[in-house]
Formats: sequence, structure tokens, C-alpha cells
Amino acid sequence: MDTMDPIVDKYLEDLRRELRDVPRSTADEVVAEVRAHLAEALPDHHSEADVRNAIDRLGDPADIAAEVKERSRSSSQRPRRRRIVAVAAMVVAAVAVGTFVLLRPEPPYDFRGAVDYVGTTQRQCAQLTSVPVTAVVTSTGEETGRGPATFEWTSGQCWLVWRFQLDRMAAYQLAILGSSIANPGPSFTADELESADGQLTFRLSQFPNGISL
Amino acid sequence: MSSMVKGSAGGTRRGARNGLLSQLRRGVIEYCVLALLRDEERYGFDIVRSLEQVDGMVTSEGTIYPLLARLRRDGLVASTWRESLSGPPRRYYRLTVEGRSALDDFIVEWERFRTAVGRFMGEGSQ
Repeated sequence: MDTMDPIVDKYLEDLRRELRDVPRSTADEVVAEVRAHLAEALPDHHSEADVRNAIDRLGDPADIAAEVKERSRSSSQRPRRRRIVAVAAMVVAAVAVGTFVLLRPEPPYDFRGAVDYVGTTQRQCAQLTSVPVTAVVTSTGEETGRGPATFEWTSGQCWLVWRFQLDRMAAYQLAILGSSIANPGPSFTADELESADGQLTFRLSQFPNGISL
Repeated sequence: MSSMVKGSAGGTRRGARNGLLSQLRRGVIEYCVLALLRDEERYGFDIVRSLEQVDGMVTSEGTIYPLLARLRRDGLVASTWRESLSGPPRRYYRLTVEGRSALDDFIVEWERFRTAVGRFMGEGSQ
């Protein structure tokens, strides 16, 4: 603590004594800052008057110590408030996540449908079952769901059937991808049909769960 | 006797005014320090000098250091010691993310508070 200036040394000793009740690390920090302050405030060749003026501006060590104690009290309250807020935030977040997990639709969106390949015989339909077909759902050009579609012979008719889950409900276009059905020639009950490059696109009137073609 | 009473009343009024200023200062001084650190890091003496240039912000320079220590412990500012070309090492303070957030919150609340009080003061002067 020795600064080679007896007035400064005395001032710092007084400050240290006033800070005897506060945590050592805090006292060290404040004393170090006050010492650095005096080093900055005093010119290289300072007079006693310079020192006394600088110390006067710093204030009574007892006032500084009182400020430390007062600030320490408000500081000890602030982290406690922060902890309470943090715990409350975690509880709210946990409840929100739990609520979402419990209440979200499960599965997200069940996408089912079928197309009747009118005029297709059971034998032809059986041959089609070996064809890999993919049903793709898009919304404004963006894919929102995809899954396998299979040919099935049911109730005397050949059906292309698909069932998979969608990420969201906004989609309204269905594309059937399969190399061998580029020109299937069936009739559909879908609203519209587009065909290009072996890809059939069904515009759906209702969607999804309880899809209507 | 009359002049003694007069002097005493004046002293009481001055004391009350100083007490009021002290209360106001205590409520805002830490945000003034945070504001000083908004755009650049500064060392303690520099902060004290900047505050001192504004009338009424600092009565005792030494009381700013406990405030800086507290802001650091609360995580609103961070500090680094650096060598100085012109003297002993300096502890430089900078605003943390939490400190910046606290300052932003204060600015909003201060504007609202200032407007609210201003309405009453404006009414009083009419």
C-alpha cells in the first residue's frame, strides 16, 4: 500500500480500516481503484496541496465505506431477484413444453387417399403393385409431405392408395411419382389433373384428414 | 435572534435540497455509468472525470468506485487491467450484454417517468 506519500498512505490506511467489515475482495478492489485514482489525479511533481485537494475530492473514507456497504446490500438483493425470475422462467418454460407435448396433435397430420384406376383389371393391378410409387404433397411449390403409395385391388377396382403424415396442413397439391404410370389412362374424381414428365398432379378439394378426391 | 432563525431555516432548506439531489442521484447514477460505457470501455478515473463534468452527478469521487465494484459483481460490467503508458495499470470497464439490457430497460422507463413527472411540473407552473 505504500505510495511514498505519507498523506496518501494515511488516507488509504483509513479507508482500509473503514472497510474492515466488508468482504476482503471488495475492500481490496475499492482500495486498489482509489489508489489508482490518486495516481492518475496527481501530477508527477505534486505538492502537498495537490494531494490534499485530490483526497478532498475523493471524499471521507467513512463515506466511501458507507457507500460500499449500501451498494453491497442492494447488490445482494439483486441476484436473489434474478434467481427468482430465472427459476420462475424455468418453471413457465417447463409447463409450456409439457403442455405442448401433451396437447399437440398426434400424429401431426394423417394423410390418406386413394385413386380408382377405372378399367384396370385385377391382373393389371397386381402387376402395378411391383411399381415403386411415391406420393408427394406440395404447397405453393414447397414439399410438405412424402410417402409411398401402393396399388391395391379392393371391391373389384384397382386403387392407388397412400397414407403418410404431413408436417403441416397448408398443402393442397398431390403428385404421384412412378415411372410406369406416366400414361395410366384412368379417370379420376379429383378436381383437376396435370401430367408432365411422368408426374401426375392431383389438385385436391379437401385436405387433409378425411381427404376427398 | 431573528437572523439566527432565518439562517437556520435557510440551512434546513439547503440540507433538504442536497438530500433530494442525493436521492435522485442515487437512483440514476449507475445507469449514467452504464451509459458512459455504452460505446467504449473506460477506466475508473476516466469515468469519474466524465461524471464530474456534469453538475450534481458526483459529490465525492471516491463513492463511484464502490458503485463500479457492485456493477462488476452484478455482471453488468466486466473489467480488465491494462498497463498504462502514463502511470500505474488501469482497470478498464466495459458493458456486458446484461448491462446493455439493463441500460436499455432504464432508458425506456426513464423516458416514461420523466414524461409523467413533467406533466405534474408543467401543471404546477401554469
